[in-house]
Amino acid sequence: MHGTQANVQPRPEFGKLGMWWFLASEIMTFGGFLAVYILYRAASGGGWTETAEHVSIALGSINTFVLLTSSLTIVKSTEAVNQGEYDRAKNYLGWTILLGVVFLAIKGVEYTSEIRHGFTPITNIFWNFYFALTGLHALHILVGIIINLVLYIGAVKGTLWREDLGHRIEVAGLYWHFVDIVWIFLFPLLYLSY
Amino acid sequence: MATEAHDHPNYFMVWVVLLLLLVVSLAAAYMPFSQTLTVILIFVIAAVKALLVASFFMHLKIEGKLILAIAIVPVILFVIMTISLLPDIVYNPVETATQKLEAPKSTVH
Amino acid sequence: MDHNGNTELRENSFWRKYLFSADHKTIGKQYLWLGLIMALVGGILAYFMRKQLAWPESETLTPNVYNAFVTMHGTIMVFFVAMPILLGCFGNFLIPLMIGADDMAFPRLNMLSFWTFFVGTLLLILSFFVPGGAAAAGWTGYAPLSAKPIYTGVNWGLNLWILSLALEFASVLMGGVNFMTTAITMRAEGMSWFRLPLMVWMQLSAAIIFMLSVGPTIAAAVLLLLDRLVGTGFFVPAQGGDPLLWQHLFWFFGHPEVYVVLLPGFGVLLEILPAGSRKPIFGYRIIIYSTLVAGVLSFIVWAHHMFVSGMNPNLSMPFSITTILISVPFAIVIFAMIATMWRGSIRLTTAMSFAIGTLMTFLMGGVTGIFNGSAAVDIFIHDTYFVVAHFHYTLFPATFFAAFAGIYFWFPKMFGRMLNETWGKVHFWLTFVGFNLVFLPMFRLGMAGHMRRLADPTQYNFLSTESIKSTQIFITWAAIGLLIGQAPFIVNFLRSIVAGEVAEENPWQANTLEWSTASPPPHGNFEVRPIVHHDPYNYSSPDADSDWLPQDQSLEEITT
Repeated sequence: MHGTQANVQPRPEFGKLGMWWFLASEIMTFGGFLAVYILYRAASGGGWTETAEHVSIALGSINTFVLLTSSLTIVKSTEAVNQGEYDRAKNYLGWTILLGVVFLAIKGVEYTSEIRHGFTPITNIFWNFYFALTGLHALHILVGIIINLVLYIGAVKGTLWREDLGHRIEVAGLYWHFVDIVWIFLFPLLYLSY
Repeated sequence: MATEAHDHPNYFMVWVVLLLLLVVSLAAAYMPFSQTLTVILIFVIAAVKALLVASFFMHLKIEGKLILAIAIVPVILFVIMTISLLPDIVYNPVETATQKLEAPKSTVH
Repeated sequence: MDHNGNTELRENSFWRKYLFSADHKTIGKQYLWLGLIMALVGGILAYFMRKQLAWPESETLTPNVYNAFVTMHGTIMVFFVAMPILLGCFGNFLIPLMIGADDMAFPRLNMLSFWTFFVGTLLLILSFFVPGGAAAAGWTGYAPLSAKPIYTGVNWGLNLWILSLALEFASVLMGGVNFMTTAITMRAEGMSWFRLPLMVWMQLSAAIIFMLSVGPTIAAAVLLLLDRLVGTGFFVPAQGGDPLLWQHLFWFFGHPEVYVVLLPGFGVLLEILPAGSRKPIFGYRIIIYSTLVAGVLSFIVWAHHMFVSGMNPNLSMPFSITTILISVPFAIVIFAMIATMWRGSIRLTTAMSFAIGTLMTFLMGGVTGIFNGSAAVDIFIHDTYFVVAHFHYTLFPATFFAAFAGIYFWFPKMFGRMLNETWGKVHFWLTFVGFNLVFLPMFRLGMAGHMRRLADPTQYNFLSTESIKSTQIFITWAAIGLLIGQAPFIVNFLRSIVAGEVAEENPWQANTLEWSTASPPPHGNFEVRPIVHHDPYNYSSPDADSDWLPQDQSLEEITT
């Protein structure tokens, strides 16, 4: 036997590593979307400014606030798991889910008012992008909410703690933070750079 | 877990800084700066925000080299891809349809 | 999840054991079956295309159907034959065995990955039968041809095509996450990175390349689907889109995809050649480093598919240079393979024959790739049969020769029985000769200016000459021969599963860990978790009594 490292790592590392590999491909996928948008917008030479002014910066800012806060709550949940305070972890997870739902609700209000003002997904290429990018992001939020909800149910029932699967909150958190980061870039790209 | 050995970053403070940055980027967007300056400002701020979330909330600051590489390599690839497409989509001597896009109809209000 | 000996996977009902199994070996075999059946479908499509090309007056296929067959042949062969056999089957079956693990890191994710793939395959097959027929915009789906249903007359066929590819990508992504996590966290004691069998290195490189390159294409495919379904204009010039961007985003993945298929094929050769030559591999680390360099380069060569697309001419030179550059690391790997055989005591088994056949044919593909990669030459031969011949000379060796080599080599481990060697040899010669007779003349057709994707070449005067016509007919007969040449394999394969000679633990006297357990391995793979003492290619070591030295056998055990 040689002095090579013991290669079998503890189980929590499995999920984290797997999630990071998944996020790497997610970065490339959203990278593809953002690249298309950035290139088209650069090629338009400012031709989109007029139509892009009709997005609601106020609602966009509130949603940024909501998502940033939900990132805080899920990381607080992870922290609580590591400190063994399962009740606090459960509550923070609940707040994260709630904030995710608030985000989607605000997004829904935005979509409704935009479509009512005649800016539909096929109005012009800016609105093509606006709906495609925010729609895909919203889909990711929805998936995140479902994942968090499954964990939350496990936390309420207590199965999550009995089977020692608390680290799954950290893994779900990685995904949630990633979705948050995507929004951090979508916000200036779609709302602020007119 | 390994994270317990480290001092936990003060997540609340990170969140406060993130919100401050959000306010700054909003202010930058409303200031009468030139468009170039505004665009540079808001994207630098976005990058800083993303960096904060990644390094503190996602613990990249204390992760091993492998996970750091998994996170950084795709970002680099994305930048390379976008830059190498610039000459084709944005500066193509053959005028493309995108460049000829007329300002969208402003009748729909 | 089931790594620490959980009992969760002790499944014994028929369904759990053979169908919805989370055991990596069963999943690997499921991928093999799926890939082989789809290969048959792809081959039948090729037969109809060849018949139409040789005898256009027979009107075997209308131009629309011909376009659909071209598209589906390419899609099936690349995404639903090469991927499931080379990555799905060999990757899933071999990675845990070769690193000495009991299963994948996420067995249930692995099962989900296969069934996602399966649904994707069903959707693709289904697309033949929807009104308007299957996708007909080429396997590259170039916009704007693909962006509006009216352009090809195919509506749901192409939508299903996009959906099935999306499912396939999702499935391979899940598989890739599994491959990487497994190889990083579950290697047996003593299995350091530089003792990993090269097959594992190749699978991991392929998984990384896939995961990092597929994203932009997924993005583009979603946008294309929106163009078709919602009426957006991302790739429609009339609505402000830029069709060129589709080509860029497609090839950003499409080219690395070639290496995703090729590297596992190389991995098969790199296991078989040392075992068949009874010699250590030549330049183990050099091969790994070359692969990594090729992996990095593979991300910056994509635009060589687009020299005549109207892209900025200033991009041609940089992409020509990187394309020619990438042949260097691959040449190094090929030379290492040849040097491995040099002066070895070669055992010419069927697997070994196919391995050598891969080398010979792939070399032709690689060399002609340099022609295509130079922008000046490519402008002449672009979109001709020269290109068709070229990529069949690269992908056929990887998808079929290397896959057959792997099947003949690992069949005993998969099914516990041997394939018949005599019929294997017959199969090899029919395939090898048939393949070259089909594709070598295509270079000549290409040089004569024969375009690809023409349902009826005789509509052009310069393609109606007696010489071109007779070449087409010759190719078609050769292709029929190549197809019939697969019959010995099919019979041999099916018969050997039930009635083949029972295989021993290590029929090829090879070193890697999968040969140190029963054939087929039990659930959980190893009775005792192996400890690794050597690098995987310790053949003809002067320290050992026999000419092989399994990785889990220490020298003390043997000499004392």
